[in-house]
Amino acid sequence: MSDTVKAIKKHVSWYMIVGVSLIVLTGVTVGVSYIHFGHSGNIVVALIIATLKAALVASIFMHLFWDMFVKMAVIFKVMIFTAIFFTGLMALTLWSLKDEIRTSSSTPGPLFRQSAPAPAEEHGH
Amino acid sequence: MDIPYTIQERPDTGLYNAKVGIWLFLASEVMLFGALFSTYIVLRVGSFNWMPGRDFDLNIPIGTFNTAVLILSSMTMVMAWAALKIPNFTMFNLKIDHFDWFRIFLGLTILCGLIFLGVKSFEYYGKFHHHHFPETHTFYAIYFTLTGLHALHVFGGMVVNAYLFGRGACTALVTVALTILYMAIFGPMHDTATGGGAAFIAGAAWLGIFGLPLGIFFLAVLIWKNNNSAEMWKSNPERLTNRVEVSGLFWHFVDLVWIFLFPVLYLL
Amino acid sequence: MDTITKEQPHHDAKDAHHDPMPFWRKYIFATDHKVIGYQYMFTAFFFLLFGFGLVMLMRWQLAYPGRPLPVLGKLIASVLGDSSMPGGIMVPEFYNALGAMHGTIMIFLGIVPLAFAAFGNFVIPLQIGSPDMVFPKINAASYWSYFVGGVVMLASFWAPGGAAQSGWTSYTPLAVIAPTGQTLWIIGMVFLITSSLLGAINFISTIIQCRAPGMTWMRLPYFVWAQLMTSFLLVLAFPPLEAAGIMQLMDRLAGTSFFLPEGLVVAAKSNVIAGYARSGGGTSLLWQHLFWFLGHPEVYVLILPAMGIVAEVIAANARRPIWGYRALVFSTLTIGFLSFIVWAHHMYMTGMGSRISVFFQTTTVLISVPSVLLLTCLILSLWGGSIRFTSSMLFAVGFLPMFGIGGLTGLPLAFNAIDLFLHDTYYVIGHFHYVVAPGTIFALFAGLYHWYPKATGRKMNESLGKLHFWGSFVCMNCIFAPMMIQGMQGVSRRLYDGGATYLLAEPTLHWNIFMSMAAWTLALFQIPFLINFIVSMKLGEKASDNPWEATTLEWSTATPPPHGNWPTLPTVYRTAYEYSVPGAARDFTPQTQPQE
Repeated sequence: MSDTVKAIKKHVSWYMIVGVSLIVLTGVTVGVSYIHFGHSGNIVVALIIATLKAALVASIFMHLFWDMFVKMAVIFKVMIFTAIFFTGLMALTLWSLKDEIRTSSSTPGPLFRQSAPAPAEEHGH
Repeated sequence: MDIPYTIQERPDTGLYNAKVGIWLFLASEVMLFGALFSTYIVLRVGSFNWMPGRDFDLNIPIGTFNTAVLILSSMTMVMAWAALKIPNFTMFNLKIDHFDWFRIFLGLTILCGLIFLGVKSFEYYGKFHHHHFPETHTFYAIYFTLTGLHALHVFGGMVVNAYLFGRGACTALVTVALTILYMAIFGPMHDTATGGGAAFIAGAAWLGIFGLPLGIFFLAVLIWKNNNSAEMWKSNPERLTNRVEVSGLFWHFVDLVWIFLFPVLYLL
Repeated sequence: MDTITKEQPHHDAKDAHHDPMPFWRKYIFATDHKVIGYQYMFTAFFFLLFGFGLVMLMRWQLAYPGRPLPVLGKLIASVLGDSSMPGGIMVPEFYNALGAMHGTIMIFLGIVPLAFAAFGNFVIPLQIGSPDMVFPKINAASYWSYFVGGVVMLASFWAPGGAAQSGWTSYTPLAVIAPTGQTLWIIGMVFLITSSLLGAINFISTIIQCRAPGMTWMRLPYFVWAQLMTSFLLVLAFPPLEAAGIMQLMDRLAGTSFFLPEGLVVAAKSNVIAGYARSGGGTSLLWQHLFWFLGHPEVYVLILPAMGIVAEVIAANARRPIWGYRALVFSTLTIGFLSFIVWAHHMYMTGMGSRISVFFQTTTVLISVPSVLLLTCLILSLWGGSIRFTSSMLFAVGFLPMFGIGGLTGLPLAFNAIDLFLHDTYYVIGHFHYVVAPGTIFALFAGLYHWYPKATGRKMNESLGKLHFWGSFVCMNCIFAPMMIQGMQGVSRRLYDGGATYLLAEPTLHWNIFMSMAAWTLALFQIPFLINFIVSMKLGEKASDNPWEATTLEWSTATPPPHGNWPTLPTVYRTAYEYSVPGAARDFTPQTQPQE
C-alpha cells in the first residue's frame, strides 16, 4: 500500500526532488524557447517538456505512480477513457475542419478566413 | 444507518468515497480545459498568419515566476498532506508538532496562491492599461478566457484550502476577494469621469469602514478561535487527512493545467 | 464547482432517522436521496408540462398560421407584452423563442432531470443496497442548481426581445447576435450543466463505492448499469458545452469572436452593423463541434435510463429473467463509448470532406448495432413469459415499437447522401420525437406506475392508467407519423407558417391541422394521469412492500423506505432477475434470499 507511514516518509524526499526539478524544467522550457528549432520544432519541444512536467505532477504529487499497480483501477480506467475522448474531440474536430470538399488538383487552403490584426499600438514600454 | 466508506477505503476499489468523487470531477475538468485547448488549436491552425503569444506584450519573466510559484505551492500542498500522515514529521530538526507543520505548509500553499493571483491581476492590469481587451485580438480573447478560467480555479482551490486551514481564514479570504471584486468593478470608473468616481469613493469608504475592521476581526478570530480543522484533527484525524488529500488533488490539477497554459500562451 | 473538494460526505448524528425533522428540513433542504428524487420529479414534471404547453402554442400557429389564438392569445400578450402575441397573433420572433425553449426545456429541464436525476436518485441507492447517495449535500446542491437554472430559463421569457430564439442548439453566429434572452439561456445552461455534473459524479461514486455486500457488478440490475453509463456520458460530454457556453458568453459580452467568421455583416432592423468580428475571425463550425460533442451523447442520456426502466418493468411483469443480461450490459458500454465519436453526423451539411464524413457515417452505423441488440434483448425477454398487462407494463411494451420506429428512421439519416436531402426537415423532427416522446416518455410513465407503490405505499388506478396509455399511444403516433411524410416532401422544420407559403409543402399541408388536433388531444389524455397521480396518494389501493413480486433490492425494504433505507445493510446472494426458477418455491427469488 502506498500510504503507510513508512512509505510516505520515503516519498517526502521525492516530493522535494520533483518540486525542484519542475522549477528547473520551467527554466529549461523558457530557455529553449529562445533557441530556434523551426516553427513546429519549438512547439514540439515545449509540449514534450510540458507533458513531462504534467506526468511528474500526476505521478508523484497525485500519487498515481505509487498507486498504479496497487489500487485505483477504477480511476485509471476513467482517466484512460477521458484521455481517449479528449484526443477524439481534438483530433476529429481538427480533421473535420481540415477535410474540405475539394478536387484533387486544388491546394489545401486555410481552414477559414481569418486575419490577425496587429495588437493595438500604444505599447507602454 | 451511516454511509459506508466515507473515511475508510473500500477493500475492492482501494478508495474512499471522496477520492472517487474528486477524480471524476477532475475527469470532467480535463474535458472542460480540453475543449478550450481544442479551440485554441483550431483557431491557430486555421489562421493565415498566427502571431505567437511572445510577439504580444506578455511578460515572459513574470510568467515564469508565476509558474514557479504555482509549482512551489503544489509541493507545499503535498507536504502538508504528508505532515498530517507522518506522526513524528519534522524538518530542520525543529521541535514542532506535525499538525503545526501541516498548517505551516498549508499556509504557504495559500500564500503562493495569493501571490499567483496578485501577479496575475498585475498582468491583467497592464493589459487593460494598454487597452488590450479580449475584443482586441483573438489571441487576447483566448488568453483572457483561459487564464481567467484558470484563475477562478485557483481561487476555488484557495477557498477550500483556507477552509481546511481554519474557517476564519476562509471567511477572511472570501471577504477580501469580494472587496477586491467591488473595487475592480467600480475602480476603473474613476478614470472615465462618468460619475463613477462617486461609486469608487463609496467603495473605498466601504473598504475603510467595514473591510479593514472586518479583516482585522477575522484575523483575530483566525488566530484565537474558530479553528474547525484543529477540532476535527482531535475528533477525526483521518477525515481531515482525507480532506487535505482531496483538496490537494484538485490543487495539483490546477497546477497541471497551468503547466500547459504557460508555454502555450507565453512561449509559443 | 469547486465546492466538491470541500463538501465531503458526512452524516450528522442529528440526521438520524428516528428524530422527526421539521418540514423545511425534510422536504425543502433535504439530503435524503428519496426526497431529492421527489423534488426532481415534481420540478421536472412541471417543466415537462410547461414545455408541452409551449409546443401546443406552436401547433396553433402551424395549423392556423396568422390566425389569432382565442382567449389564451390575449392572456399571453398581456403577460409577456406585445413582442409575443399582439392581439393573439404570434409574431415570428415569439415562434422562434417557443421552438428554442421547447427543445431546451424538454431536454435539459424535463427529461434529463426526470429520467436521470429523479429516477436515479430514488432507485439507484435502493437497488444497490446503499443507505443514501455518497455525497448527500452535493446531491442537494445538484437539485438546487437545477432549480436556479430552471428559474433563469423561465425568467428569460421576460428578457428584452424575449427568450432565446436560436434553437435548442444555439447555433452561432445567429446566437451571438441574438437578443438578451440568449445570454440568460447560457447562464441557465451553466447552472444545469453544474447540476448534471454534480449529480452524475454522485451517481458514479455511489455505484462504485456503496454496493451492498455480495452485489457484484454482474448482479446489478440493468437499470443501474444504464444509469452508470448515463452518468459517465454526462461527466465527460457536458464540459465541452460548458466551455463553448463560456466562449459564446465572451462573444456576446466581451466582444470576442470565437464563433464569428471574419467579415460578418449583420443587417439589423434599421441599420447595418458591419465588421461584427471585432477580434479577428473565428469559426462558427467550432460551436457546432463543441455543441454536438455534448449533443450526441445527450441523446443516449435521454434513452439509456428509459431502457433501464423498461428492462426492470418487463422483467417484473413478464415473470422471466431478462434475455441476454450480459449482452445488454456490454451493448450499453459500447453505446457509451461510440456515442463520443459520432457527433459530426449532425453536421453533414457543413461542407465536411468525404473522408471525415465516411468516418462519422461508419461510427454512426456501428452504434446502431448495440442499440438494436438492446431492443432485441428486451423484446426476446417477453418470449415465453406469462405477461401481466399492468399500466406500467403497457407503457413498457408500448415503448418497444415506438423506440424501434424512432431508431430505424434514424438509419437513413446516418448516411451522408440521404441526409443531405432529409437534413433539417420534419423527417428529423419525427425521427427524434419517436425516440424521445413515445419512447423515453412512455418509459418514464412505466417507471412512475412501477415505483409509485414503493414511494407512496399505494398503487395507482389501473383503469385510469389504461385510458392514459391508449390515449397517449394513439395520439403520439398521430402527431409524429405525419411529420415523416411532411419531411420526405422536403418541408423544413423551422417554418413559421408550417409551410403555408411554400409550394413544395402544399400536398402535405392538411396534416398540420391533424397533427395539432392530435397534440391537443394528447394533452387531454394527460388529465386522467394527473388525477390518478394525485388522488392515488390518498385513496389508491394499499400496496404491500413488494406489490409486483419483483426480485430486486428496492422491494425488500419497508414502504415507503425510511431515512437510511434499511435497518442493516442487506446482503445479496444472487443475480438480479431470478424469475420462474425451476424448482423454486415461488415464481420469483429475491436477491436477498440465500442460496440453499
